[in-house]
Order: sequence, then structure tokens, then C-alpha cells
Amino acid sequence: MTLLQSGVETPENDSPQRDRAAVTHALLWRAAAILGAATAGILVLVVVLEAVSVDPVLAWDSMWNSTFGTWRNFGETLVRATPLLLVALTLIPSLRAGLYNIGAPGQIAAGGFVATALALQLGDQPRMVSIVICGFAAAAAGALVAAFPGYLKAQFGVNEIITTLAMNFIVISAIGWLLNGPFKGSYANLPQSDLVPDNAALPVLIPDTRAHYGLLIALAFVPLLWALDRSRTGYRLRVFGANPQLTRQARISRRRYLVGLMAFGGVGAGLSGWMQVVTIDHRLYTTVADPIGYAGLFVALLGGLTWFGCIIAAFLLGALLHGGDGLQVGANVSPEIVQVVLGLILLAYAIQRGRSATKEIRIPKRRSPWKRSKR
Amino acid sequence: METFEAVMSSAVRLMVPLLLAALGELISERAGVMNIGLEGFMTAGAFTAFAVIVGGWGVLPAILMAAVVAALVSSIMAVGAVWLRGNAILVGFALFVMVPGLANFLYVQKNNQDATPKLHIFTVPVLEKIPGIGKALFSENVFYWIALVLCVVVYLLFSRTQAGLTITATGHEPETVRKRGKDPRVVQTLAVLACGALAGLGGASLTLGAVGSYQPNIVDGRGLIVIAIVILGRWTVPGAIAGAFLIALLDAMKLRVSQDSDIPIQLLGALPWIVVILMLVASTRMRSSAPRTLTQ
Repeated sequence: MTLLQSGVETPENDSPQRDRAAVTHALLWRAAAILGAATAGILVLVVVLEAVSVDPVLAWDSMWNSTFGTWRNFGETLVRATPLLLVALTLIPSLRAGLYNIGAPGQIAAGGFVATALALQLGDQPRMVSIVICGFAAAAAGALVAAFPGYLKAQFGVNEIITTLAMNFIVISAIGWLLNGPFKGSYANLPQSDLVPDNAALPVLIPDTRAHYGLLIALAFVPLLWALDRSRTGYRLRVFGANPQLTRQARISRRRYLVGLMAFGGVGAGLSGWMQVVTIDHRLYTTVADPIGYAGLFVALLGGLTWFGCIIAAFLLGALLHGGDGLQVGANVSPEIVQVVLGLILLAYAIQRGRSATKEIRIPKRRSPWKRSKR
Repeated sequence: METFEAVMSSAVRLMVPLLLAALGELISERAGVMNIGLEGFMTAGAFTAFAVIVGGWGVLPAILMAAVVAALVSSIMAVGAVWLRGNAILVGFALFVMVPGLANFLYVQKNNQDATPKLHIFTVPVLEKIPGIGKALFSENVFYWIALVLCVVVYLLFSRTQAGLTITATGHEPETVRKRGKDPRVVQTLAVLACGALAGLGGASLTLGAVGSYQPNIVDGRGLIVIAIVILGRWTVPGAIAGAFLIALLDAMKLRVSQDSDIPIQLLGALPWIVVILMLVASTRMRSSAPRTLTQ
């Protein structure tokens, strides 16, 4: 057993032949598992669709059209993929340390609320001011909501899965109260806020679509993660994830890392709440987190806790989620079916990954050309 | 007095689903399987009971089918977490997302909004007359009595029988169980199936007993609350009863208080969750009797 699960090359992996055989073997297994899971998933879907007498082909057609059919629809897919990517990327460090932050909906709602409140206050301030203030505040709000379960875990050893889930319900009830009381908009007697001024919105990235600059913000986390991985903090985090006992002996504060990791996971969620309100919805609704929900976590897991995997998984799940909305319009299938798909994916992943969900399958790393080790 | 009576009787009615599911989770956690998928099992039971009764098959088949279908769903958990050695928490979370999604999908697609028929109330003749608590405790529908009987059964299972001891041993030291000639995986599978059936009954009591119809997301996080109840109840039956009653009392008071005062109902909706967090924090200070192999 090596100290770190990844990144340390053990001697038996050094010979090139064994390397190749091991890689091929691992990749084949993985491909077989994915294919098997996909086939099983599709079969289940077809059975379910037939059970409610919907033509699966029609359903597929309307899903395809609504995701990739036109340029505008493609933009919608990106709109759905952006928050998923954000949440997934910021969740990577905590998942690597074996912390499950399932509180994305609550953190999204908190970020959305703070962004709404500030955007309404700021009113007609210049666009940059409004965007920067709202964005940072939303990130802070998401981080704060996520840090609380981290603190409880560090201080009392309370299971973070249950507390983050409980926080979802608490935050969303609080938002529900705010939108029925102090923050209720003047437009109608509905639980929604006033219209957020236009200059708080992020500019559009691709013309004629709704795809916005949030995508670039999400992608900006990739170099950040890369840098974190190579910094001292990143090294300590890897030690923390691999062997908490060792962390204690090295006098690294467990509490600080627990809280910090959880808070970082909340940053992405808070930011996506902000984007959802100021750029897409333009009002705060109690359902602000519904388009994203737990899917960010799925993206992180499916992406194998790597940034590249997350980008691909976010795009695919974004397409799936938006396609689910298309189903409603095109084939009169209610979009709840997408949840079933998500569940099936996670189920396949959980079984395939085995007991240690955060350990990666050990595919020996190819040495990068610019970091050739001295032999 | 009248308010007290009303709150008590709705608290007892709301307690039954929690209690049934808590008994199931208790068995499963004692065997060392953390079952986040409880929400899914309860939804499966709730939806099945609704579908069967709306299909006109009667109450008894509805209850039985709810237990059977939820046990089938829990067999996914058993296969995934016990036999294929998947990550129990993630398998449970997958069911947590998938089953309510499927139930909502089928419900919306069929769009049947019938109410379920009223259940027969069984009454204990004399005790019913006790002022205050008599109506709440001795004049209830069939699920209440099922829950009471099952409480006694599960209590006796763990305190008096070899089987209960084996389950507890599996949670603490699976190796020892193996050496004694029993397969821990079989024990865990049976425990998970029992958990599914009990949670299914809990779900059925929610649709048929407490609510009287089905609506999307009817379970609404109760599965998670139940997990917290079991942890705070220190994996014992009396603890589960006390925890379930506490949460149900809060739920019952929520409706009352918001009628009688200015405290908005949305904030009261957060109350059970705040209590759950406090319960979890408090439980870490208690003597630990947690099954040792349980991943917490």
C-alpha cells in the first residue's frame, strides 16, 4: 500500500510492457462496464416508456432535436452544462478527500438569494461593479452554507452527508419564507422576487443563444485546480485524503482542511446560483436549484474526479437534462424520467467503483514530456 | 385540552410512517449496512400502495404489495452494496434519486388524482375514553397497530433471539460471524430486504393513512430524518420510538402553530431539520453503541 493512491509510481508499473497490458486491461474493463451499464439503462428506459405508452423513438428524436438540433438549442445545452461544471470542479478536492457534499441545492439557493438581494440593492451601478460584487458575494454565501456541515464534522464528527442534505431543506425553507415575506416581488402574489436589473446579468457568449460568460468562469477553475494540485496545499490535501492518520502526525490541522474543503465545494454552487438568477431566470424563485440539483455531484463522480472528465460529463449531462425538458414538449413525456437516468448512472458508477468511491482505477500514468525524471 | 388532543392524534398519525421505516433502518444498520436509499424504499411503498388501491384491489393487497415492491427495490441495494461490494452510500444515494424520480414520472404520466378510501379505525373499547391521549393512542388505523406489533417483534428479535444476535454481530464483527459458520453477506441481504419491506409499509402508511392521496415527492426527505432518528436512538427500538414521536410532534405542531400565530409556516418547515442536526451533534456526546463496521 503506497502512501498516496495516485501520483506515486510503484516499481512494478515501471516496465513498459506491463504498463501497456495493465492500461489495456483497465480500459477494456472500464469500457465493458460502461457499455453494460448503458445497455441496461437504455433497456430500463425503453420498458418504462413502453409502460406509459410512449414511442421511444419519438422520445429520442425530440430529445436529440432539443439538445443539438439547432444552434440555439446547443446554446441551451451549454447553459445547462455550465453550473454542472462549476459545481463538479469545485467538488473535486473534497471528493478526493472522501467528503461527500450533497448540499448543492441549498448552497445554490443561498448564492442565488445573496446575488438577488445585492443586485436589487445595487440597481443601476455599472455592469462590472454589479457582476463582481454579486459574484463574489454569492460564492461566499455558498461557501458559508457548505462550511457549516464541515465545521460540524470537524468539531463533532457528524456525518456530512446527512447534515448537507438537511441544510438543503433548511436553506430552501428560509428562502421560501423570504420570498413570501420580506422579499416578495411587487409583480404578483407569488413567491418570487422583484425583477433583477439587466446590468447584473452576465453578457452572452455565443450570439443568438443564451450561453453566457459563466462558462468561461467555470473553465477558469481548471487552471486553478491544476495549480492547487501542484502547490503545497494540494500536496497536503492529497495526504489528507489518502491517510488522515498521517495528517495528524504531520501536525496538519484536520479541522481547517475539513472546513476549507467543504467551503470550497460550496463556492461553485454559490456561483451557479448567482448565474441562474441574474442571467437565466432574472428573478429568484424557490425552485432556483431545481435545474441543477444533485447533478453536479454526479458530474464530478462520472468525470472520475478529473477536470477533463468533468468537462465531458458536464456537457453530456447538460445535454441529457436539457433533452429531458425537450421530451416534455416534443413527446409529452414528463422530465422526471431524467432523474431515473441519473440514478441509473450513479448506480452503475457506485457498483463499478467498489467500496472506495474516491479512489481512482489505477491506470499507470504516462510521464508527461516536460517532467522527465532523471534516471 | 382540545388542541392538545388534536396535536397528539395528528402526531401519532404522522409518527407511524417514520416509526415503520426507522425499524427497518435499525435492522439494516445493525447488520452494518448504512441505507441512504430509505427514501427510495418509502417512495416505492407509497406509490405502490396508491397504485394498487386506485386500481381497485382493496386495502390488504395494497399493503402487501407495498412491502413486496419496496423489498424488491431494496434488493437492488442488497445486490449492489453487499454482493457486488459497491459503495453502500452511493448505491443508496442512487436509489434516493432514482426511485422518487420513477414514481413521480409514472404518477405525472398517468395523472390519476383520486383520493384513497378512508381506512377502518380499530378502537380499544375502554382505554379510548382516557382524556387527552385516549383517542390518539387507542383509536387508530391498521398501520398504527401494525407498527406497534412490529416494534415489539423487533425489540424481542434483538433482545431474545439468536437471529437478532447474529444480525448485531454482523454489524460489529463480520469475521466472527463467518467463523461461526454463517455468511455475513446472507445476514446483511436479509436485513436489507427486511428494511425494504418495513420502509415500504411506512410509505404505504403515508399515502393510505397519514395523507390519504399520493402527490409527487410525498416522502419529502422523511427517509433522511429516519436515518437521523436511528442514529440518535442509539440503534435501539425505544430510541427509535422516541425519536419518531419527537419529529412527528414537531410536524403536527407546525400546522397548529402557524394557524394560531404569526410565525410563518415555511420557517417551521425547517424546524425538523434543525432538530435533526442538533440530534446528530448531541448523539456524538453519548456512549457509542454504533455498529462498528457502519461507515459513518
